[in-house]
Amino acid sequence: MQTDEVALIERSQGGDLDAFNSLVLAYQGQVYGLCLRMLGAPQPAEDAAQEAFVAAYRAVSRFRRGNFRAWLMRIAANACYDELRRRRSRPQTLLDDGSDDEHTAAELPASDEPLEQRAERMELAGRLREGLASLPPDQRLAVILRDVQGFAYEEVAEATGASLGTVKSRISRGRAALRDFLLARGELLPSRFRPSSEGN
Amino acid sequence: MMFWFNRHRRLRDQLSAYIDGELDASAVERLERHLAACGRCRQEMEQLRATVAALQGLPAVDLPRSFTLSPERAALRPPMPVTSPLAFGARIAAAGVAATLAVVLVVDLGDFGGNGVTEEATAPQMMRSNADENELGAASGAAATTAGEEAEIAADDEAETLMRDAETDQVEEPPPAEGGLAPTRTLPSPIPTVPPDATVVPLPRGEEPAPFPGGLTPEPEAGIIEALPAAQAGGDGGIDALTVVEIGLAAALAVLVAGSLFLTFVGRRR
Repeated sequence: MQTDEVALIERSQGGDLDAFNSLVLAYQGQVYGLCLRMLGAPQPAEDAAQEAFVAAYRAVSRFRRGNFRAWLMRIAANACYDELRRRRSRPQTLLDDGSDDEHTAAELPASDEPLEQRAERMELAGRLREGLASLPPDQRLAVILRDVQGFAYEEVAEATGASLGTVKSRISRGRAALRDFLLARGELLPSRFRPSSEGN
Repeated sequence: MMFWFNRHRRLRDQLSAYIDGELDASAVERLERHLAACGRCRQEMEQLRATVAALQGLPAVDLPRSFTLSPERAALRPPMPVTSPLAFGARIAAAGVAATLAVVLVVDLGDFGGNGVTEEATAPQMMRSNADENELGAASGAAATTAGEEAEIAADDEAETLMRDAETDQVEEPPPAEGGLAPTRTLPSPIPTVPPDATVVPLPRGEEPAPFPGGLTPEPEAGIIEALPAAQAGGDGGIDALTVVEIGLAAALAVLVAGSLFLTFVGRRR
């Protein structure tokens, strides 16, 4: 943890809202990204991220030494689990609520890359999002933290409250399921990666 | 073959950690030896690598807005936990239902039909079963008594007969057997009853009086007397204490269910 961050945390613990907002600015991209990929739609992700920061502000006085990012991500993950529970009690199809395009556009900012390449990347991103949504929440969270956010295994364990062995298992199973999901749709991975009937 | 397949599966499960460099040296050595010999595992490893690369290649998301907290928002009352109203109401209701059911079960099972409307309907059967029980008790007990006690039993028989006569319009009894008093009017029992004029058998040691002969002991009176108030209470429309308890429990259950519904409604409106 950087010295600046430690100082900001200490000031936040003393009730300095500006210091806490500096931490928000540093982590809001990761927090919102986690919520968006966990929940699959912008508006619930926005609500969950905001809820997570409010909860973090109220709990920051109880934060002791450790990985602040992992601590914050754990709060965000809990906000996402809350939203998923809420969704189970009031079933709805988020992908049909008209937010799909908005989500994709948010995921893929405009760039100077060729149109065809951009379309291919958008398609892959959409498939990955569908594939992530098909995973059980625990596996989804572990894969997002590890492969999308680039957390170390230990950090994933801290952010999820699971043991290292459990984290390894969730990442392994999540990746395997995602690979199967992508392969079942065929066109996303190069042909040499597609399953064949060849044994060993 | 089975051993190889299990080993193959176990090593394949390590591919993900292998890609991330999370295996120790000995595990890496084992896996690499297997990979050198197993084309399927090599292919799976490449597929996993491609999947991880695709995930890592996802662009960062655009923020829809800033999430910095305003002083007003930071000062707001903490929001209620998402599931708390529903979960709290459901827990209260579930606990109430469980407790109520437990109490009702305990009361009902412990009582074995000692009162209430149900018992009113079954009072004659109870009387008969009491008589059966008495017969059983007498048949299994010793068969010694004194002449004075026999006279007392005869009086009890008379009383019991009168009681049963009062129920004859409710219970269809078999016709009395020859010379039989009360015992001959009981329902057929698999255990033979001792006739009222059975021979008095002396006590083996002559020390303690034994149960009464003729299938009767003092308990029949208690059984009949127990059954009668129940029938009378039902007939008079009175309510006994246990009924009051059951009504109270039902009311408590209703309150709990209504409370949980209210909490659910409040939770959804938030």
